Amino acid sequence: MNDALLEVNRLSVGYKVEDGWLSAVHDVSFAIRKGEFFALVGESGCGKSTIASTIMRLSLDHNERLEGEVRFEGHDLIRATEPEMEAIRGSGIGMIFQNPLDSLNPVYTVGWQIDEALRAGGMDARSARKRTVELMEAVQIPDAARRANAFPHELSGGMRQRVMIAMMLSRSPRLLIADEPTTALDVTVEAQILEIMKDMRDRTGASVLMITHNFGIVAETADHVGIMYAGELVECGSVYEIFARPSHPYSFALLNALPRRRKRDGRIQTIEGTVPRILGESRGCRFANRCPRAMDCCRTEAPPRRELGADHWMRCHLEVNA
Amino acid sequence: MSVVIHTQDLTKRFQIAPGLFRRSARYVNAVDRVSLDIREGEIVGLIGESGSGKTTLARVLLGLTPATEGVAQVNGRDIVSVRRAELRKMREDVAVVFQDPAANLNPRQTVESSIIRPLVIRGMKKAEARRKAAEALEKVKLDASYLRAYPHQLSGGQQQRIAIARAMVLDPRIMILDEPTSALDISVQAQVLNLLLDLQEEYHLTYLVITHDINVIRYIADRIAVMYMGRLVEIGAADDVLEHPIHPYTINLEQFVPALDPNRRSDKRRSALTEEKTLASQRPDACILCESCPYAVDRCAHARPELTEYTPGHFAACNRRVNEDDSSK
Repeated sequence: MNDALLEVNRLSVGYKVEDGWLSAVHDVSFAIRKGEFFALVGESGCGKSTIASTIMRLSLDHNERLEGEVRFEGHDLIRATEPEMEAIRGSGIGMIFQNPLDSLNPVYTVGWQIDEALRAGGMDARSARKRTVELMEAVQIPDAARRANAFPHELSGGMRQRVMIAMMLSRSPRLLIADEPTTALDVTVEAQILEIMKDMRDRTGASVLMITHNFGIVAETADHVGIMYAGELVECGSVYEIFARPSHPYSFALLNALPRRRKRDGRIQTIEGTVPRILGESRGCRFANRCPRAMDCCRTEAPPRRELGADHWMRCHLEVNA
Repeated sequence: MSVVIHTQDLTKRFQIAPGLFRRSARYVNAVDRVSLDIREGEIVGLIGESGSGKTTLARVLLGLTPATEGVAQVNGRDIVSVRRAELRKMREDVAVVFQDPAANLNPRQTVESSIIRPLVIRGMKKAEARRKAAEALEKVKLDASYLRAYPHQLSGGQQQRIAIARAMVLDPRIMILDEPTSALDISVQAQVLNLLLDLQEEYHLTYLVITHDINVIRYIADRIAVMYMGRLVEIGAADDVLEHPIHPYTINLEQFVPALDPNRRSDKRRSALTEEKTLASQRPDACILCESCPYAVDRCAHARPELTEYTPGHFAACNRRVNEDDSSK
């Protein structure tokens, strides 16, 4: 794929725990094109946030084992040195998190903190402030010049997340990673933040990697969707394909567990059992113990990749037309 | 059907700024003259954004927070002027489950001691209480072996089941569920919602479900009440409120709910009526939306609209009837 901005190839991440190596991410491959809105979706503990922080190389922990490659504009970030990563973080790849208060410094005004990002890029103080106010206006912060002098605690949750987006935009990154950016916000504020992110993608041509557990957000924003289960990417396809034709038994069950009907139309489906904790090498399909269609081979052999259509595939032993 | 929860002009006022003299103190009405009837055996969904007063209303109904003014009756018992001893009796009829499953349970007690505590307090013998606890666990479809577990050994979904089991142990008639599934994953949320629906049908319970998730409410509720800035702005049958909302706030809120379907994605730019307001901007003699509402008429700025019945059972507090055609936008 020539127009891929980010390519994740056979990425595995293991964490050392008391009783061995915990396999948090296993053999995950996907690509994000230029200007694409890609959503990585899954339930808690499925490894989606681990992938985000591995792309940014945020973990400095030595109890970590990385395999595979993460290629950003052709450079392998897994093998990049720390100074190389410093150059990529911010201007190449920007990231926002669920709780903006964890990312903002409480003792400086928000304007000062955006200025700082701009000055780090070599701008003088006066032009930095001018640009800061422009950026704050771009993310629809009303009365931006005055709000720039506010401290983080003086702003609402939605305004703080806008400040984070403005700060991220200040370095004009080509890839934005958003890890559950609206989970703590009300629906009206959430919709506005998502609108700002889509708008930003349209204007700057940057790609977005959205990490979320919320299928509403996926349906509203994503071009492409990857569904993760227990550290593995089980299905990947366009948002329309995934919602219309979820094919992996887990994706199928998950989409049918969404409350999309009224109780008089019957109960929504549930997925029995729990997510396994995988230590060391895993054999077979990780969903096999909960899968209603599991066969003998599912417990012993890694599921093959099955093509389901243009850009739509799953990892499953089931025959595609079965 | 008999009314099991009845409130009339129920108000809870909090002081937000201290004053040296009474006059300079500032107050907000977290619950502002709310009148609501909940009938036996129905599921009422209460929706609203953070700060709308929905949790404060629940706390008043549970007797955890004293009301400032108005009437609140649970099973015909007045809880505004109730004495402590009577409050305890009332709590046998009304159970509660909170959002955070871990916060519902004492981390240093086994599941069993958490469940039997309300029974033992009421003077039940330990052996009898234990039997009831095992029964309660069966009701929430958990194995009796979980009785000896501690909360940290359980998953979020299991913890929430235990919290429901404990709520069920006193055989309540009414359950108040405050964001019961917000902290849970989708597959676990589905299990807990189905469990709640099964219990409600089997024991003919009455639920007041508080949530910000309209998709959850659409699935389970018979009627929907909408709160904004302390006031009840609309209430009616779930279909009416969802398909034909009357109040501009409800119309606005429903526009923002993600559709769970990419084919119904809203690509048009939307603007909220409510730019993260705080209760401090409440005005007692005006509509809470009077400054931002596109349908506002002159009287909105100096007359507080009262709940009015528009179609049978469907009430809204709006000074101007919004055209049916506008509600589909």
